[in-house]
Amino acid sequence: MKLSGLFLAFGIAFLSISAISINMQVSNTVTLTDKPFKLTVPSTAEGYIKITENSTNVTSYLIISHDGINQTIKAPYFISLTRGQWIVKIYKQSYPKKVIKVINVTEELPCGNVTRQIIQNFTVYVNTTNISYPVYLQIVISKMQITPYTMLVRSLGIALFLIGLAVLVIERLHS
Amino acid sequence: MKRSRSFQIFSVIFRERYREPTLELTIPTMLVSNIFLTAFYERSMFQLLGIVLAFVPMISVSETLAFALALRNIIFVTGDHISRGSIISFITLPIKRETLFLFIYVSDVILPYLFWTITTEVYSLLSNIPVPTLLLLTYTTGFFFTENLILLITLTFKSTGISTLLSIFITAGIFMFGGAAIYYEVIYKEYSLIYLTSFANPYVLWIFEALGTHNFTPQIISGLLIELFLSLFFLFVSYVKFLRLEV
Repeated sequence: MKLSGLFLAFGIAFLSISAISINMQVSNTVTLTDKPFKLTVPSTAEGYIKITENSTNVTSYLIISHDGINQTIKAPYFISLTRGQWIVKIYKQSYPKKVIKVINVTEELPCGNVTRQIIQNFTVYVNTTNISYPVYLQIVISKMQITPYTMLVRSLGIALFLIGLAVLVIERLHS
Repeated sequence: MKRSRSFQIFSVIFRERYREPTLELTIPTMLVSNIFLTAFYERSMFQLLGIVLAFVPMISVSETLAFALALRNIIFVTGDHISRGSIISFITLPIKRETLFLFIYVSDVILPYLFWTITTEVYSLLSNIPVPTLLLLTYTTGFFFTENLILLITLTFKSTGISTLLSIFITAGIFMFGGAAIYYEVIYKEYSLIYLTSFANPYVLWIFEALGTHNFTPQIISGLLIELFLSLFFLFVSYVKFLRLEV
């Protein structure tokens, strides 16, 4: 078993790992619902998210969270993805709504039972939970590197290749 | 430098199986083919499903290479020696038969497994992709279960042709039909039955778990334990057969 061949082959393998990247675009379109959309992006990936909505009269508001930092935006929007955890969720709005409730009150009077209707005004806080109009997230990963430690792997590959050449020369001299 | 006799015998057995370009071709190929892990990971939007799919045996190149290398070693080198009778030249060497079995097992089965483990771990470290340890253990027990079964078949039927056909049909049958059975058990929600059948194809359970439908970790672990027990049983029976081998 020749060691020179092994070292040379490993050197080429590590060099190719450091040099190759997957450049084919990977695209995925998701419709945003009540559940927040989560995406964990590694440091080797580059991509973006395009947020669009289908309607012209209504503006959808969303909260984008990146590693805990929140930002409220309105659709359409463009996010350039960096490393970390990205969460896209609906902006839950809370507004007061006046509700009229009719109550029947029965009073006992000496002349008999009288039922009166009293109108009571309530203020109810309504939370929006649904998006009325669909919001589309188009996630595109444009480039994916194999390793984040490019320099380390490249130097390892070159070192192994050179060691292989040296061992090859030594083996040739010995034989 | 005079090397010990045991080392020289192991060296003969090793060089018989790993001649000149074998190691230089297979180990770097196992390392670089892990690029499919990165591609699957990217395609699944960085979720567990991509990692699980990239580790399914016939989809992963390095797993298939390790399996094929060990199968070739067992059936076409060791099994060939036994069927042609040339195993006598190994048995008459001045070492104990137990030690001979150990050397043959290490170079036939354990070395391909080590090639796979080291290249997979190096790639996981370099690429920072979070591969669950249980997934690596799933392939480990499956590999030893399959290869010990093939070793038992080879030592029982002393013909390379019959060993090859039987090994491939039995292992493929267990994998495919076991997988189908587990799939139907999950669909019909027979979760307790899965504890017994999950040894046949734990990857179906991994895919269901990665899709987020149900937590199948206890069933996967029970399947791995059954596989471990069966592989140790096959190894023990093969060991006894080898010790009693008459040429």
